[in-house]
Amino acid sequence: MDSLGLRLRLGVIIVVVGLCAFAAYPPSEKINLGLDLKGGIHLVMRVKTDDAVKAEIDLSQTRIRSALGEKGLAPSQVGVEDGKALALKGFETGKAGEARDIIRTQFPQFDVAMVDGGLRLTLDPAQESATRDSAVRQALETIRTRVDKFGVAEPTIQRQLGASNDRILVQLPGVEDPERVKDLIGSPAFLEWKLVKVPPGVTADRFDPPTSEEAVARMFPGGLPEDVEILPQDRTTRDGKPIAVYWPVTRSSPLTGNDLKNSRRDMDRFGSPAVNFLLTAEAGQRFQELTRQNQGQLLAIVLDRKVISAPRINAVIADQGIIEGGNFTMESAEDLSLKLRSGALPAGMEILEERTVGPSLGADSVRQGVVASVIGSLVVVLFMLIYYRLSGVNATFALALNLLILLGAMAYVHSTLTLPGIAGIALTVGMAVDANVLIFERIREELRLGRTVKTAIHAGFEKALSTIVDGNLTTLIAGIFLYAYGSGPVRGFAVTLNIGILANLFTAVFVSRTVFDTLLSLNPRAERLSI
Amino acid sequence: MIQVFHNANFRLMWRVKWGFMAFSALAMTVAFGAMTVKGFNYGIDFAGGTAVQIKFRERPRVEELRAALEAANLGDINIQRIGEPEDNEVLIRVEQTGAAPATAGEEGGEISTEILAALRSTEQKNTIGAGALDLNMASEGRLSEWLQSAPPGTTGAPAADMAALAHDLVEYRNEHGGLFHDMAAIAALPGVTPEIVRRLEEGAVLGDFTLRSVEFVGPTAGRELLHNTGLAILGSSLGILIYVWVRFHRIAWGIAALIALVHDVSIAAGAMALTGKEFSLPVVAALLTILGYSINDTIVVFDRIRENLRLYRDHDFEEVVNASINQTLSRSVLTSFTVFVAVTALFLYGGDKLNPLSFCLMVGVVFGSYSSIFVASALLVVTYKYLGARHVKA
Repeated sequence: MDSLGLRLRLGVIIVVVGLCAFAAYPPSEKINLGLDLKGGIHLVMRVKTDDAVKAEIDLSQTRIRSALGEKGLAPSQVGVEDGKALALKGFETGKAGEARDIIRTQFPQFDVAMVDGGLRLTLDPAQESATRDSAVRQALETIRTRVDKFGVAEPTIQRQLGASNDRILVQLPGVEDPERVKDLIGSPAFLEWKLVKVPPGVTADRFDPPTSEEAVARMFPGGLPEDVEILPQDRTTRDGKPIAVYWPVTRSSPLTGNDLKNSRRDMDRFGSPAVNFLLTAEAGQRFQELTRQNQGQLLAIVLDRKVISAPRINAVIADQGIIEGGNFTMESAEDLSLKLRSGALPAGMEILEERTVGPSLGADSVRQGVVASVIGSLVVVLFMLIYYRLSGVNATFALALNLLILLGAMAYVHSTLTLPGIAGIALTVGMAVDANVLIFERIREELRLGRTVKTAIHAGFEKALSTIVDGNLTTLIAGIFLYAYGSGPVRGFAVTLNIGILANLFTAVFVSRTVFDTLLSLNPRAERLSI
Repeated sequence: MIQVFHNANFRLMWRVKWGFMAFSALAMTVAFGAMTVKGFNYGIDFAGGTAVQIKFRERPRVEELRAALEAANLGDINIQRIGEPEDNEVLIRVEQTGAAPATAGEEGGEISTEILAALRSTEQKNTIGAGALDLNMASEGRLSEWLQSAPPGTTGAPAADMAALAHDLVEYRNEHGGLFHDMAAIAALPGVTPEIVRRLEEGAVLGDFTLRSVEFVGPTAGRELLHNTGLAILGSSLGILIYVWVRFHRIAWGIAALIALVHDVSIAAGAMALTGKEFSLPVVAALLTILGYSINDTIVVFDRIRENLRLYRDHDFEEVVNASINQTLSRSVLTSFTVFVAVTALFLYGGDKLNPLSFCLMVGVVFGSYSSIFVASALLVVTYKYLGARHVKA
């Protein structure tokens, strides 16, 4: 190290100090605080891609049925099995093979197998994974749009890479209303309009939906027709108890949320919150047709497979209308219109992990963390000054520089300071002086052996070096694995610890030595060292 | 000059080492006993489930909270007062296995929402449902929007000031634990005009509580956390083992260092089990840091032993080890002292969340320094006795 000129070394130190100070000043702007300090919502969500696969199969079901029907090959039974296979049963004898060939040519995305005289269709693996992948990408886009419209500053919304590719990480700083946000980004908001199929012998006006599915089915002599399904509606009784009632509605949905052009929060005629909607021109025509043909009937508005309301069609409606009677509050009406404007999620979402910190707790954590670190550092510094006197000043300088580099490096690589990260800094302070202690104790030993100040300093640094490198490297090994496999806050701990260790190597070995050498060059014949 | 030990020359590697080694064996037995018999007090990270931390405006009555939550049928509920009594804070934990039948098979991410809904009084639920602003939950944006929505000229202040006022109000609230205790506190703030107070009294409520934090780890995420934690521990242990092996060539040195590591980490983990402090992800980070710290300390002593073995070839192995320990004793005590001071400050002033992590580090630091001498070095001396110089000398 002697070969490097003293001036050059001083220059390096000044440049490092300058760069780090520039990068980290002012810390309140340059250091990125984690959600556990700043407050906010951290969610790991899973896209239920099974839903998307099922939807894809459902969609093909009608098309396959009609393709086979054209050729006179229609099976008597078509059904979805365990959510991922389509079973076609009841072909006329010997026709199954013919049907198989047609499906293979017209619907190449399916693998077809003969099972007990029927056919079993499954999406081929490449197609299936493409469907899942596109569901996740679409969900990511939709969530981005929703969060954007909700108005959150600096959100993080990204796909998490890993063994399963269906995870989405959502981090929303400063958001204080987790319930609302979870609903806003997690509910599919798939809107459908379906005609209510009132049972024979009952008029639409008189129809009162029963409180169990079985009761609905019993109302139809000869069982529920194939094109009718039963969907629930949440209601409250007069004394405020929640109950569910069930509506028989058409399986097909003449209109869905995809047909919307716009949607806003509105008021119904009683002044209660509601949501209005505007349809696209093409859908408007269909809606007009639908309402003209079904005057006096009930039209159910279905959101995520639940009936919101089922108003009677009293007039021909063109391209706009209102969704009311859903027990909306101002907030939920606002949120629903926002979701409708942003589009539906392609599949259900599920929260796997949530870490929400209120801003007041975050502020408390910062305060406590800073107080603890400052107290710890002061005691350490005071101790070094008393124990090593003027050399303690050198160690303190190294320590201060260590912290400066730590902050500067964090600002440069845009890493996030978390609460455990603060603990990592406090720990760095404690461990950073270790290298100085090792060196100073060595120098003292050399001085006791009667060496001159200059020789003692050189020998002290030389002999302590390998130990310092060893010790820091082993801690670094643990730190790197912590970083690689740690999640969130723990990773923050690893970041400060690792950068602290690297900074420590630089300050203890390079900076402290340069300080001693500078002092020696000012007073080459020093006979005493304050250590 | 102040020196911890002036020319330290303690005879540590002779008979007295057996006493210390027996102590170490005993401490490890107690640690393993505590871990197996008492077990860890696992946090949400490892146990899974939901933990909601709530701060109330008035002293919470735990029994009433429990009744309200049990009525919501969420499963096994544990309610605990935390912090100082005047903080009015509670931690509500719902175990994963006790998920309500309706949510069985699901991950359970909605439970925190249900907890909050269950805790609100019916009266407040109604007023807030009807559109009243909850001053203790509203975000700055919401508050600003609400203040700005006043008809012009009715607030006694320019509309442009409302955003700044919302910011000041939220800042005040954050500095006071996240809650306004009464309207008088708001009225006393600069910029709040009597008109604004009147408007707040009509259209806003002071919610009974504020949300401090929510932690939820579902079974899927829990499995992954556990898996990754295992990988981190395995990876760093292997990495350190390889490093020690390469560094010291002799397997005996590596094994001695490794036993010291196991000793330190298991005692620190045992202390966590014994005291019932929460065992969460940051504690695992602390244990891995102890791993690094302990090996660092052992290396300092081992380096000195190796250096001295070359210098004093004609001396007894025991003597050389003993001298090396004495030479590094000042440094060992100093360093563990400074690290101990730093983590003690965290333990005392760092707040609840850092408490388990800093406690674990405190124990680890003390034993990490102790074990370099009385486990790692002592084991070298013992191995030397039984296996002879050829296997031990570097």
